[in-house]
Formats: sequence, C-alpha cells, structure tokens
Amino acid sequence: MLLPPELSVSLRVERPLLPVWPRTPPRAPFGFSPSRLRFHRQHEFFEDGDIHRHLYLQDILTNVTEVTERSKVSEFCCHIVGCCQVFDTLEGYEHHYNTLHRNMCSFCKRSFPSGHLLDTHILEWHDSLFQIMAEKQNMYQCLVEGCAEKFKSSKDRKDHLVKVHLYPSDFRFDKPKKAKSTKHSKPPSKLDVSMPMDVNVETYEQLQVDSMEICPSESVENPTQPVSGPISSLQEKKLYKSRIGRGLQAPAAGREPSAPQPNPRSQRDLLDASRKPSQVSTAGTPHLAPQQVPLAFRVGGEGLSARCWRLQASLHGSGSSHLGLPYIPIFPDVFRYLKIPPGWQFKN
Amino acid sequence: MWSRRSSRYRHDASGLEELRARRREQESALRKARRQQQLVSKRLLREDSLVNGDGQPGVEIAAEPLSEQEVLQLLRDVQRGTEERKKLLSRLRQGLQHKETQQKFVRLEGSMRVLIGLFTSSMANIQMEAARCLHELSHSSDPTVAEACLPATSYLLTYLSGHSVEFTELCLYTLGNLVVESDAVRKQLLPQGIIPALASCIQSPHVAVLEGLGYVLSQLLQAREAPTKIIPHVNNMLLISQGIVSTLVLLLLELASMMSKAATGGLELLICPVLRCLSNLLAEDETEGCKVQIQDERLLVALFLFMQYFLQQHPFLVQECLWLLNNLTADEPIFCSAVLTLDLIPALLQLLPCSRMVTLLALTVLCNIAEKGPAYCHQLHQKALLPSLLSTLALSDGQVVGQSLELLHLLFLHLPEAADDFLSQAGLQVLEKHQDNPQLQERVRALRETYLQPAAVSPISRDSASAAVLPSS
Repeated sequence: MLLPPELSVSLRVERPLLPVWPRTPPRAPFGFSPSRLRFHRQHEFFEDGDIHRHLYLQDILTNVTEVTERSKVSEFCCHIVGCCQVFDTLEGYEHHYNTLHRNMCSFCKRSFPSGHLLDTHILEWHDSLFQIMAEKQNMYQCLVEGCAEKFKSSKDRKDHLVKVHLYPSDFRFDKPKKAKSTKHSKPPSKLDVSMPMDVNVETYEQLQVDSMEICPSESVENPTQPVSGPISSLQEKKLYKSRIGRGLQAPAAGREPSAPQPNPRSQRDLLDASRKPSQVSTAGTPHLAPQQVPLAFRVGGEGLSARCWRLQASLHGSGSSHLGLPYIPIFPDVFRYLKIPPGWQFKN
Repeated sequence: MWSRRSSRYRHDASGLEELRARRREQESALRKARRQQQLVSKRLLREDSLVNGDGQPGVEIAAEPLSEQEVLQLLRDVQRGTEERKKLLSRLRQGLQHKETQQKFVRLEGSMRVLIGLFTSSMANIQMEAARCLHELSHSSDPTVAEACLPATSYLLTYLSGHSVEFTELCLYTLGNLVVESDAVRKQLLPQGIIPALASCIQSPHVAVLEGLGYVLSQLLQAREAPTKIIPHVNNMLLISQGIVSTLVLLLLELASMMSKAATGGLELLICPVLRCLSNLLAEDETEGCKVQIQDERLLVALFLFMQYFLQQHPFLVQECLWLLNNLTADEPIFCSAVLTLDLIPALLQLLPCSRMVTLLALTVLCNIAEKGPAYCHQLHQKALLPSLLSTLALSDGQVVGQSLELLHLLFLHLPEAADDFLSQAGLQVLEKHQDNPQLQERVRALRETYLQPAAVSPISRDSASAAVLPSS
C-alpha cells in the first residue's frame, strides 16, 4: 500500500475546511446515510482479532518478570535482628520481609498480609478503648475492602463474612481473640487437616522474642549498623520504594546513610517525652510515668518490640487512658535515625 | 511484554511442518470456540526450566507426573517438616504441571486444605511455592481441578493488597485464570469483593502488577453475565468527561511513531484494543449524553500507517482501522477534509481489492466523504475514484456492488460530469451485468434513468441547488 511520502512527519497544520453540503435524507431506492457503526461483542467482525489475541495468550511464556530483576546477588541475611533467614535474590528477601516483618504486631508478634488487617487486629486485640466503645456501638468492621458494615461483636462480623461475602468460616485472619493457635504436639501419622499450617508463626516468633531480651551488657551506644555488602544501596532502594506504612515516615534522607538527617518532628517529640524516665528499674528498663507515656509503638524490629511489650504491660498496670495513635514503622535501617535517649538500651 | 514460549521442537523441516499443522489446529479450535461463545484462554506463569547454565535455551526435561501415593507422601512430609519443605513443594509443583497429577491431587482428602494452609503461612518461601502450586491448578483445563481452588479465593484477594511484586503478580494471574472458569467461581468472587480488591492494585507502581491486574479485568469482562452484572458499573459518560478519548488518541499516535523504529513485534496486540475502544466510544448513544468528537487529524495519519504496516501480516487490523475511520468520517467533515488534503484517497483506493469486509468498509468511508457535497466529490473524482469503482462494480458480491452503487449515486448527485466520464469508461455495460439481480436492480435502473440517459449527457446546471431529480418509481 503506497502512502504519500513524508506522511508520517506531517504536523498539524490548519487546513481549510471544504464546504459541506447540507445533509439530506437519502432518496429511494438509495439508502445510504453516514453513520457511526457499532458491533456487538460476539460479532464475527471481531473474530480475527480475537483469535489472534488468544493464540498469543496460549503461546505465552513463563517468567513474566524481567530477567534483570531475578539476578542473584551474593547471599545476605535478613536485616531484622534475630531473623536468620538468608537470601540470594532481592525478590526472595522482599517477599520474606513483607510476609514476616512488615505488618507485624509488636504486642503479640503476629504477622499480617496487609496494613489494613494489622490495624484492625491492633484495634480489636490490643486497644482497651476499643473494648469500651464496642459496648456502646458497632465497632467490628467488615474485613472486605469496600464493605462499610460494622458489627457488635467478632462473631457477628464472622457470620456476615461467611453469609454475605462467602468467606471460609475458618478464615485465617479473623481469629477471635480468645483462641490460641495450637502448636505441634505430635507428628501426624496421616494428613492431619485439623493442624493449622501457620506452623511456626508462634513458635518462630516466640524464639525471636526470647532471643531479643535486652541485655544491658550488650548495649550499643551508637545504634548505626551499616548495611552489609554491596547490595546496600540497591536494598535501600527496594525498601524505600515501597510504601512505607502508616504513621511516621522514615526520614527521606535514608538514601544517605552517612549523614543521618534530623528526625521528623513527631519522632523527636516522642523521644523527648521519653527522655525523662521517672524511674529506672534495676533491669535497666525505664518505667514511664503515665503522663509521659508517649505513644504505642508498632514496630518491625525486635529490639524495640520487646520493650514495647513491656511498655504495654505498664500501660495497663498504671491505668492510664490509652492513646494508641501514630505508630513508628521501624525498618532495618531506621535505627540510625533514631536518637536513642540515655537509659534506653537496644541490641541492634 | 511477555516473550513467547520457546520452541520445543527441533528446527528441521518436519518440525516446522508439525508446528504449522499444530498452529492451524489450534486456530480452528479457537474459531470454533468463539462461534460457540466459549472462547476462553488462561495464562500460565512458570519458572523457565529451559535455560542451561550458560543462559542458552536448553532441552526441556519435563518433570514426571506423580502417582497418588507420591502426592500423599509429599504432603505428609511437608506437614511433618522432615525434609526441606521448599524442595518438597517444588517437586509437587512440577508434578502438578501434569493434568493427571492435578486430578489426583484434588481428589485426595484434605490436600487442598493443606495446600491452602501452606499458602497462608508466614514462611515466605513456602508460601511462594504453595502459590505456584495453586497457580498450576488454576490453569488446569479440567474444570473440577480449577474449581477445587475455590477455598483459596478469599486469601488470594487478601494478598492483593500486599507488597511483594512477584507474589501479588502470581495471585493476580491465578485469580484471572479462576475467573473465567465458571459461573460458580464468579458467583463467589464477586461477593468476596474482587472488584474493590482489584481497584486497590491500581495504585501499584509496578508494571508487572498492573499487567496482571489488566489480565484479571479482561478475564472478568469476558464473562457471559458481564454485560448485565459488571459492565453497567462502568460509566462511559464519566470516562468521556474525564478525557479518555484524547488519552486514547495520544496513545495511538505514540504507537504509530514506534512503528518506524526497529521492529517491535506484538504491536498489533496493543493497537487493536485501543482502536476498538475509540470506535465504541465514538458510537456511544447520543441520547445518553454528548456525542464524542475527535478533532486531531494526526489520528488519520496513524491509522493509515497502521494499515500499511499490517496489511500483509495482520489484515484483521486493516478492517478494524477502517471501522474507526468510518466512525470518524461519518459526521465530522474535518476528517473527510483531512483525508483529501493529506492525499490519502489513493491509499484508500488500494484497499478496495482486498477482503470483502475491507472493501465494504473502504467503500463506506468513501461514501461518507462523497456525501459531504460537491467539493468533496470533485476531489474524489480527481483522484481517480471511477476506475476503482468500476472494478468493484464488476465483482459478484451483492453487498459490495450495492455499496458501489450508493457511492456512484452520491458522486453523480453532486458531480454530474462524473456521469459522462462513467459512460465514456464503459460503465453502463458493467452496470447492466446486475440489472437482473433483485438486490440491485432498482438502484441500477435509478442510476441509468437519472444520470446515464444519452439525452442527459448535457449536465444538469451546476448552479442548481437541489441537484437530485427524483427518479420515477
């Protein structure tokens, strides 16, 4: 098919419009009248195009992600203290981090697949104010995105999930508060379907906690710990590329590890508030007076979380009103940006 | 873009012929399915085991299918955690590439529960491997196997708001495969909130996730009940008011400019849906809202470039371009003018001797232009419309000839001297061929009596405003 030369470079030029005859209806026996055409979706007009597309679909290969992303790096360890998983691909690490550390409840160590589910969990399991309010109004939010229904109790919500949204009645991320997951007690002789496969979540995390107990003798004054290996900048890029999470942001200066920038204001306030512990217990644990309780922490790092666990306990003990507001997401490298007040000791 | 599956056949003559035969079979099966409105395809993401250590494509060593006992043993070992779990699950996954193994697996009591338990565990590598197993199952051609994945859907949806690109992608493709499986699957997925869950994926900055999302949506829209249950939620008027038309036009312009560069295979797969979108938007019912207007002439250039580029290899694209061209020229004199001033009539005429549909549409576009009045007909005539028209008139297809007659009528109506030229080119003889065809005879006679009588060779005054003379019935 021959086209005029240089057609593809024709720029938009104001062209004089030819005069248009007034439109009149067609005269019999001629019936033509210009009209915009429409074909229904099953029309044979689309057959060739559809067939072509499906041939392509059926021919499609593997490995949709680009090869470069899958390139192996030298082995490295998960950066979270106490987590000894080793990786040789960034994707592997990313998935591990997202599954296990990203949305982890600091109080009970459970991991959640999304920030939304984690928030719901913290609210319903660890927020005493929630319990009070739930007595007066419907507070249990439906878990399905887009559904605004709220319920009086966890059970009512579950019934709704099962009836309306056709969720399984044993939906993993809607455990009622009292239930405890069973741990392995015996090896199964056949397929034991009653055994929940969250497997080592509790046991694994429990191990984490135990190994994370703060030992004063191992305190590190300078909390900075450089990321190991040549992948550091890459790793950081990956980490900071994803959404960081609710609440306080890690400082944007994360890309310059050598020059930690000042913390965002709220973080500083937080730490200032905690800078004046009223007592220091013999275990080296600062005990904060109720009015100095800054905010509840939701963290991904173990060192801080054990601390918070105790903070939580002291909160309840002191009978202070719950504040439960912004959370600090702690990423592996954020320690270097936290000015750790004296008296707080962390294993990094 | 995805790369095509590397050939598993030897590249000798017999291999090539075999390939072609398989291709033809595949194609006719697809056509048959489409005519029965059962055209459905699934996608498979699978680790490429074809690559050797040096990165070259190697010979595929297919994993063997597993026996029922082997499957059972694997599952037990995984639960027990005796051996390295990931390896066990890998073995299972490889087995699940085979239909027999898939069927055996889903028939085993408790197997899906175990798999889903692994899929929802916190051990990331286990979870990923279990997800891959699920994906193989979702891709099965056996409906019972795919439907066995139903208990996993709530989790698949939950994980869409996660952050692991690879994992999210896998979940999306699994969902996309399940969605086309059956009514039953969709009846579960829709109340589970698949649409809001997908909407949250749109925020992702990762192309892989967006592509997977596109896949699920396109599969969802293929459902039989889509026109009543899903599509009504799409507000075309809102889309139009948000500027979707200009976005699509710019996209086409960009695609057209890509064609001049090094061959980018598969471009037609991107162009086709955009063409269809635009044509459909242009054909939106006026009563619903304001009529869509496009003003950018460069679109015309893009369309002709596409047609030239794809005429040999993918002729289906030519007819779809012409469809859009029709919708552009039907009402807008701007595009009719542009076709003339960009000197595209010769190119349009070259399309006349192509396939039936292409010929019909090209003739329709020419009619759209001719209908605009004498100035347009004059230019058409100058560009040698008549000789081409004589060729189409000589064909035997009733509809093609009929459209040619309509075009002739418009031409004579606005440009009486064209009738003289028609006569001098022996047009009458060609017309007479069809005077006994019931579909055509009235129009043939009308043309002859009105414009082609020897006595009427002296043209009707060009100044007369109403050029048409009503033919006697």
